[in-house]
Amino acid sequence: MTPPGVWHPAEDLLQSYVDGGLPGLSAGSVEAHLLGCPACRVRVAGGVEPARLARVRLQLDDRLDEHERPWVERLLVRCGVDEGDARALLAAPSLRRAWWLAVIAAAGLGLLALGDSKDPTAVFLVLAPLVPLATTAVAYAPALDPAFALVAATPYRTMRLLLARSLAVGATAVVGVALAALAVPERDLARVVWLLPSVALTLLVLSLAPRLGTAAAAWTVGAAWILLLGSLERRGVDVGWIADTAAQLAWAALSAVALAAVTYQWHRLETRGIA
Amino acid sequence: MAELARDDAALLRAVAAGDRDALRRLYDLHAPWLVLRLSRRCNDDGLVDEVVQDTFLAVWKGARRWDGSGEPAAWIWGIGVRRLVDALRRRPRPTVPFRDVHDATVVSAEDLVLLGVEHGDVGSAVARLSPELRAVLQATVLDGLTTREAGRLLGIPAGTVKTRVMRAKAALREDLA
Repeated sequence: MTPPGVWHPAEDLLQSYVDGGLPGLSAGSVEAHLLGCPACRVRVAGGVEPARLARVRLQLDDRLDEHERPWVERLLVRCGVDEGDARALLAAPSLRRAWWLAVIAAAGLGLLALGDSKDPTAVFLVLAPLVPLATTAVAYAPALDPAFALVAATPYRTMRLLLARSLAVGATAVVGVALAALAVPERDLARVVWLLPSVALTLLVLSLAPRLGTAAAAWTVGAAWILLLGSLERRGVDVGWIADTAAQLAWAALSAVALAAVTYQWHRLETRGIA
Repeated sequence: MAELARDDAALLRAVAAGDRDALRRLYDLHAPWLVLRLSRRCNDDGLVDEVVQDTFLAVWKGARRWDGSGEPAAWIWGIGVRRLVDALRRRPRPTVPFRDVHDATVVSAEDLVLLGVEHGDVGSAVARLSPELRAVLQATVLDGLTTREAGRLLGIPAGTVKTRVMRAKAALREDLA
């Protein structure tokens, strides 16, 4: 039974060590021997319940998974986001691109608002809502995502993914633009009034996306926004109209309608499958 | 046997390279004795399990820090016993760190056994030490803890550990002279 070699603890010595009954000096000898003797480590291994070892191993595996998760994902999971959602959210390169776009575009906006163009505030107001819109579109652009074919083939619901990613990226873009808005002069309402049009336009894109495709929806809505502002400008209406109470209410209403449309599509696609 | 030892080293290197299977293998080889040895120093099985997890998590994160020369098992034990000390400090007492203070002793190890000292001079000299002195000798000499760590493990100030080690050594010297 005892493996060959210089000295190995006898079977009964080892057994009483495993049982915990071996007095100190002998136990210390066994322990010191075990550090250097793989064969005797195997001999004592049976002294621990396999079920216990398996349980600890499983928990260890969980903690390793947790440890390997990127910190953003860990943060999301800790905030209550479903594990699968968090992974799907962060897995796509298109999403990272969208985040970068959000950050860079927002920074550009801030510079513009600071800049000495004729009316920096007007430029800010025109461009600000386009940032969340564009980043949302990029966040779910099949053409830009090498993993798209893979994602589309998984049972993961496309609409859910679209909404989750849009929410994540849109929130980033809004925070970015809000920071950029600090560059707008303090008393100027442009600091806040961009928010409702941004929300409305982004929701519009999301509601149109299942029908037109994300890119086409984004281009359409973006173009409509520019055309609207352009035609009003030509008629001599200052871009400041966005700050009017009536206009803000209208944007809020449009947001509500678009949100309803998105919710409707969501339920339809969830129950019927992916278009 | 030498082959098995080289295996450990190879496994640790694989773990350092991020190989999860290698960590699983390492766990299968080393978790059992680690559980047994930690259980002799802490009678709370739940805590021991937690410490074992902590240890292998630390091995996973820190395998690169293994210098490649020492015995991998000794390196793992070094991590494990320190994690136990930390865990005991975080969750102080009701846990009795030693199953039986009278049994928790020992100056030395395999080489002493090889010389047959178990029943010889050193063995009986150690056996004649008070339990407190034997406990500090075990923690510092056999477990390789620093005075401060030994203090945490035993629940006494580091200064006390130091004086007890000195007293233990003096007593042994006198006894063996």
